[in-house]
Amino acid sequence: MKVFVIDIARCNGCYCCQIACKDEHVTNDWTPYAKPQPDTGQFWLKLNEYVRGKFPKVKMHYLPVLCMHCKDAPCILACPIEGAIYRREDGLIIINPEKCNGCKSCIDTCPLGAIYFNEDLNLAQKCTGCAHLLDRGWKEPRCVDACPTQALKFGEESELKDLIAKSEVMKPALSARPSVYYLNLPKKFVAGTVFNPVDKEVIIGAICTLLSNDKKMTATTDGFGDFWFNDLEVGTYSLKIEAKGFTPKTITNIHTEKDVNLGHIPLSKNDEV
Amino acid sequence: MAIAYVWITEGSYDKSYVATHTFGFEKFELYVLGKEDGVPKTPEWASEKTGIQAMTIKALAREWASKRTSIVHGNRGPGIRSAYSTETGRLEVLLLAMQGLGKPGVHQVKMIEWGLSDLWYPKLSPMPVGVVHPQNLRLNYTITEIKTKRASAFDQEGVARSELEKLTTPAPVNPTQFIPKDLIHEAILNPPISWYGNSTFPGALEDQFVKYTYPAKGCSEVHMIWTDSPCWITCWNDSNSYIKGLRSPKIEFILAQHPWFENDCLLADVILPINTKFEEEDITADLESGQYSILLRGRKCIEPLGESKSDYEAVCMIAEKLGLLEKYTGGKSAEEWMRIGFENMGLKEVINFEEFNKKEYFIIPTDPEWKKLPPGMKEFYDEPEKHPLKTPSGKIEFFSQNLAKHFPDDKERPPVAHWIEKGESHDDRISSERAKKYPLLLMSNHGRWRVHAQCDDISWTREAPTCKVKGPDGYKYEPLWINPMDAAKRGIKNGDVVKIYNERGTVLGGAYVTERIMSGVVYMDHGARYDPIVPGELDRGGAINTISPHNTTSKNATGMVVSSFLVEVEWVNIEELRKKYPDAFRRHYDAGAGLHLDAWVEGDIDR
Repeated sequence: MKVFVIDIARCNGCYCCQIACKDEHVTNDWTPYAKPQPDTGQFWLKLNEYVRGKFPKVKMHYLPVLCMHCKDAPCILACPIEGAIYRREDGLIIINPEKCNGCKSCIDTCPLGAIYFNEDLNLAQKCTGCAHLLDRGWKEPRCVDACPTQALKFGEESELKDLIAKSEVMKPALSARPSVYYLNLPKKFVAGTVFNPVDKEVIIGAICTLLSNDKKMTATTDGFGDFWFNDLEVGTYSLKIEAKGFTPKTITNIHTEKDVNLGHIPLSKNDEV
Repeated sequence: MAIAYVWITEGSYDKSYVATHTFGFEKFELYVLGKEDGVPKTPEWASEKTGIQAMTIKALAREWASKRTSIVHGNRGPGIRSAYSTETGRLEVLLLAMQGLGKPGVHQVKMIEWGLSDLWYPKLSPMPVGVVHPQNLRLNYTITEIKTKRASAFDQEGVARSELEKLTTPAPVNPTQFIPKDLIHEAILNPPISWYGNSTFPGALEDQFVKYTYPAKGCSEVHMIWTDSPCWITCWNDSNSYIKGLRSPKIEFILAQHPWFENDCLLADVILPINTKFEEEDITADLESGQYSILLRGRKCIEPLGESKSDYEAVCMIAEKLGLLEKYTGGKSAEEWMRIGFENMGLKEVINFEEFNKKEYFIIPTDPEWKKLPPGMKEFYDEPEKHPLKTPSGKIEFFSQNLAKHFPDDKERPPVAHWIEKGESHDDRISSERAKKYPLLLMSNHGRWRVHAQCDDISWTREAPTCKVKGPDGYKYEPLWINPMDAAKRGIKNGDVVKIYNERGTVLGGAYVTERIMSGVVYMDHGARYDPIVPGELDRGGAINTISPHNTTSKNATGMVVSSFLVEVEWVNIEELRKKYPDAFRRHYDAGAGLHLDAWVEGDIDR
């Protein structure tokens, strides 16, 4: 079975995948695999941008989203026409442009909005995994071929099983059993800067301990007085900051629905207490 | 300055290097400590100017001093295109010198083109050192340009010498009259003008001290403009003034050659349609761009569309009408010139034209002896007396003897690098009176999605959120990056149409509200296709250079200033503007690609 494995940590947001997809499918008619993709408005592979945190503790990542080629694809179930949406032997899901009657039943069933509607052709359209190329001997679709950092990988599920073991799938598509796996999907972060308000200096080497119900993590402030806790689950945390010569400080009720920049955190000297 | 202050006061710099490798440090020290002007350049002092907390500046200074630190630049960005950028540029080298520039791990690395110290100095670039260093052949090199090139790469050991001088037709001469591109508006609107340097970057050092004037002695003012790069509006400083200049009655005729009807073409009297690269035979040279230097034989992919010609053919046709064809071509065909060009790029030892034509590309091989080349400025670091720099002292000059000699009274670029709060050329700091009306600093850079003004009409890139912001009217506006706090203060939401303005005019943009930019600073890429609502005053396309500062880097430095200037940003009611300027808003606009020919042609276009 063919699968995609996408490593978010390797994606630098160059958009080559999104553009290569258009280069392959816009104005090119690959019937019976797909009719041409319109020049704009459809993204059979779409790169989404996410900015997290608050200035200056800001991170961003890019998330390529395409048809998940689900093993229990809801679009196939929703389609009223026999064989208009089908799963190939290699696992790729195709909307047959010659059978689709434009009823749009499939579009709302896709948990990730990966199916687009072409008003001019009265046709549902989406990623084909470049099956037309694979059938001519290509080893991978255009988006994967164009990826300069190998963030996008494509191949047999059995050959990629080690990566898949470490991966996640898109939550909305979980029950449909997607064939697109993601590595290093960013979780939340808690960050801040520890400083001494009297001397107006950052505090280097402060030990920061982040606690949740079941977990304890530590970090040490760097040369800028900064600490970072990455890869956090959504939840409520408390943070204890200790530095030699300073009164420890605890910050409670840190919620990580969004990434958290705690800003500048003052510590007072022991002798001042 | 504040970093230097921390190092000096804490003694955390390389004192022995400064003693043996530099000149005039004590004068710099006096300035930094405030003994020259009574103002110590403390982190607190810098904090007010930069919005960065003093403790962070101190932390940076200490972190830098505690580790082997190099500075890496892409192409040096907006920092070299802002008011008084000579000072920040020099200061960076001085800071590196304070930590032993040339020591392993202490360098300035520029990813493309020329780097620190010596122009085209191959050893300072991170790119692989090639066996040969091809040079683009261009006709009509000036003497100064040839000197510049000879002074640098051509004189390097092992670099093939070109036959450039012999080939140049006509024989190389400096033109009797020229205008630096960043002073064209001044030259047309307010002659006579004078400046220093021939404005070639990178120019020869000594040329920076040559004074030029316009109109030159015995020459007339410009009456006609003939351009094959019609993008002054999108690429130069205070280009609203360029528009005034181009529309001035002094300019009787403008001829433009270009593949697209855009930007300066809108002001031309006659436009000659020119081929894209896909419509002609050519050689493409990708040199000094941070990777292996590559030559490509660009073949014609399609026949020229419509009446389109190559630039060369277009000029030949005009030359023929003027009876100058033979003189212009030297009796040679375009193919022959291509061969001459190739054969004089300095490639003789590695490939000939026949082989190249067959192979259609050539990657310059890495010099097999590359390991023997001294890395970066290591030779200068090891033996400064034996490997001097080209400064008068042969050392890194904290006190520039050249500036002291040629511009002893220049308050905007004194011999010791200074922080210039304001001067006769610029008043664009947040301390300015002007900042009460225009409180935001606008930063502008080469566009991520364009090359200067080129490629602003690609429907596929225009779908990326940092390429264009689709307004409520369906028009794709140039993104204006703004921090959520600054946006909220002004009632601006992500995706709103905004106006960016100062005394020089107004540009519309699409708000890209993001934590990726600090409060107090806004950002817009340069180069968006000009779409005048009121020419010279109000632009819809996002050509931000139209409102960038008028003057050059400083009084005696002839660089462009197109970044780090004061503006205000406001929410715009686009429907009211549409009512006020119905004609401008009625222009044909392609939802994907934006403005094109149809926007400017009356009646039907004969395709």
